[in-house]
Amino acid sequence: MKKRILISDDDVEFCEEMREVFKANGYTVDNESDGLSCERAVRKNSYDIFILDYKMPGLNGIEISRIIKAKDPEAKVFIISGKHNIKEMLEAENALHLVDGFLNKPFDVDGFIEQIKKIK
Amino acid sequence: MDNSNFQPQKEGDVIEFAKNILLEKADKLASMPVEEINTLIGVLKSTESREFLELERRTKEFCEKYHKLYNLDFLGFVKLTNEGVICEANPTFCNWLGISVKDIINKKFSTYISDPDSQLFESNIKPASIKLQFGLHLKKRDNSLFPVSANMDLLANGKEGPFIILILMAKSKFTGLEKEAQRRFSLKNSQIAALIQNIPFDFFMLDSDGTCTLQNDTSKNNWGDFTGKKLKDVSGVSDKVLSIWFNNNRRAFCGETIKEEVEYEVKGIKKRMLNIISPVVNEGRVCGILGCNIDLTELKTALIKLKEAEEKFKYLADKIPVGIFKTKISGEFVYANTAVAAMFEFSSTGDLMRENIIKRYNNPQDRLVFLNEIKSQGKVSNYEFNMVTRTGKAKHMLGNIIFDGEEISGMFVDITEHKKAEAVLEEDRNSFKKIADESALALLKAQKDLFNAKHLSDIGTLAATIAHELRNPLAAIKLATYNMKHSKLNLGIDKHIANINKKIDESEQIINNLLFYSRIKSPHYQKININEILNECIDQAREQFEKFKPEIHRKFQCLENITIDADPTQIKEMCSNILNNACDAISEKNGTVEVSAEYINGDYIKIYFKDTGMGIDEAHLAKIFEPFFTTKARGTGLGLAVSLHIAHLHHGNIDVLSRQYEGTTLVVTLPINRANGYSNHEPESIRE
Repeated sequence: MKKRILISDDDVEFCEEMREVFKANGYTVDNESDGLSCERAVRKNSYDIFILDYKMPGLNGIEISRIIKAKDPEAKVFIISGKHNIKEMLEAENALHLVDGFLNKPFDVDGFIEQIKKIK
Repeated sequence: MDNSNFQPQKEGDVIEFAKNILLEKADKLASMPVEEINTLIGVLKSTESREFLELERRTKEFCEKYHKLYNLDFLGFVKLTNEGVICEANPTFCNWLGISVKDIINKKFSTYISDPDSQLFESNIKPASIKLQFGLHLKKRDNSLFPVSANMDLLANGKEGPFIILILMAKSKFTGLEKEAQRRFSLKNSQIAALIQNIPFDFFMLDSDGTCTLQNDTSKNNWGDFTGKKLKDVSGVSDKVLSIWFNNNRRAFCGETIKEEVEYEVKGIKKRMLNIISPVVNEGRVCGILGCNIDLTELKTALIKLKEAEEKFKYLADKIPVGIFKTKISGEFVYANTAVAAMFEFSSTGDLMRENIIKRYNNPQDRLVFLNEIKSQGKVSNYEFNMVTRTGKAKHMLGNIIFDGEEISGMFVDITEHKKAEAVLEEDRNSFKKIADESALALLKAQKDLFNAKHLSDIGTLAATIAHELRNPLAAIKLATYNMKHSKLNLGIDKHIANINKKIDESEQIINNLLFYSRIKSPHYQKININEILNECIDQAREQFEKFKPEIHRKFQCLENITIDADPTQIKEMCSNILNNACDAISEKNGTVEVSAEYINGDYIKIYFKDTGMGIDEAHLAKIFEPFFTTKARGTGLGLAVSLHIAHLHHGNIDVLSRQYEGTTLVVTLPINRANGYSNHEPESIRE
């Protein structure tokens, strides 16, 4: 069974290209472009992997992470951000334990695919 | 003769006793022949009147006393004519001389006394001096001398004319007593001498012929040693002083006591002295004078100073604007100075003092409070009174007052004006505080502006912002190229290229924004039609937000024919930044944007950009114009900062009105003419 990924970023083009990448690697991919619609999708559907932008209109990535982990502690969450200090930002919000990985934009695509593929 | 019951204690007693008897005899009987006395007695006896019995009794008594005395072995009685011829002598006197009575009668008294004494005696009886006491040496038949004390009286009333009574007392009889008396006298004398030496003013004594017998050290120090000298022999004293002394001494020798303030020059220093000269009178005769000079100079100076001080006090008490008063506990005035009267609007202290002080209290109850306080404490300091003047004006007084158990006294000042001034001052202080607060705020804002400007010009911040903002499009581009590389049969390659181009445009926009902001300069003024610029901006926004096609209403027809002085590029940048924000705000809930305008007084235009978005969070409202502040997922945070900067450069402003969940309105105010500056202030953020 194909693993399901939810990618949420307000950069519409970024989302499109990400979907392309993961579809090509055999995943089922959904896209959302803001915090509120992302939250709806999280509550409605179930996903194995979440790739969330840190900064989104409505709810941000960390807030969504809390909802995800409360619903399904097994789900894997990755946070991406244009800011270079994403780790510090997660620590500051005491959210490091909520996420399974974080990425600074622009990131190494192959490396990220490998990381995702490792998830059983 | 029995005289054992007469025991004289001292010389004076005897003399006095004898004198009385002799005088009585002289007055009543002495001048009468015995036969006449007997006749008188006989007449009086025949009448057997009370007067006679009394006379007889007294005569008998007198005769007994007289005989007793007459025959005392230490008293000699001699009666002389005023020529000094003896006309009667008692047996004792005759015994002393060893001559019978009949041999003595009609002889000159001076022949029976020593030669020096006889001269003195002669000189004393010549002016018929009365009441003299002196020592004499009687010359016996064998020429030996016999010392006696003599008491001489002149009796003027008698048929035989004035004659002299001499009572002589043998000195040997009283040698012991006299010695004792002399010793005592000498003791007294030395005590007096010590006293005189030590008194702090100059003191002297002159004997009857004007010779100085005593002079204390102060006097010697002032005038030189006069002891043993007469005034006329004195040297070293100015003629002026001497003439005063001569004059005063002469008057004193006449029995007058002189008390006179004189000005002396003592050793070149002018001194004011009290000169007191008093005659020494013994037995009615002036036998010398006592004198003293009391230096009044210091006293006078002290008195003058005292008087000056008194006058000063009086002047002060009357002139100082401090009320000084004394009242009884009942409130009656005991004293009040002019200031008290003036403070309460009385024309004189008299008028004031006729009224009770309670009348001067604005609230008589205060008096009771004050009395309680002062009775328990004994005093009050800086105590405030609310008083009232005669005409009813309110007065604030500040007093320091003491209570001595009976009277209340103290001073107070009128602080009414002070109080008023205080109130004005307080008001001034408040308005000053307001000004100061406003200035401080303005300063803070200026500092903030300065900081921001500095912030903007900081190349590091700019670089970091560019780097960060470019990461987002770069990430998308990287993914697109990855996909192009891995896509089989080049399927959908156009889409990837379109995405890349989009991201390149975004990147360019970011870079342009930053460059624009860092390069904003003074506006390049032109006459521009704001209406056209707004239309252009709206058209552009609709293009930019093509995906959701924002609904933008144009309600700025009133600007159609208006041109303003402005930089078209800057104004366009400003309007499109604001409009883009408005479109962003409505993107989530499909709201609308309305652009309207107002034309005010021909001076200003106002452009309203109203959206029906989510509104601005209260916490963010104050920061929206700060550079690099953004809540958007993507955005430089420069749009509004740039816009406000442009508005300020045009002497305009941007205000914000926002209501959460309902929307935000930004109001741009711009002057029509370049000269009409509207505001240099920061925007006012108003939360409705």
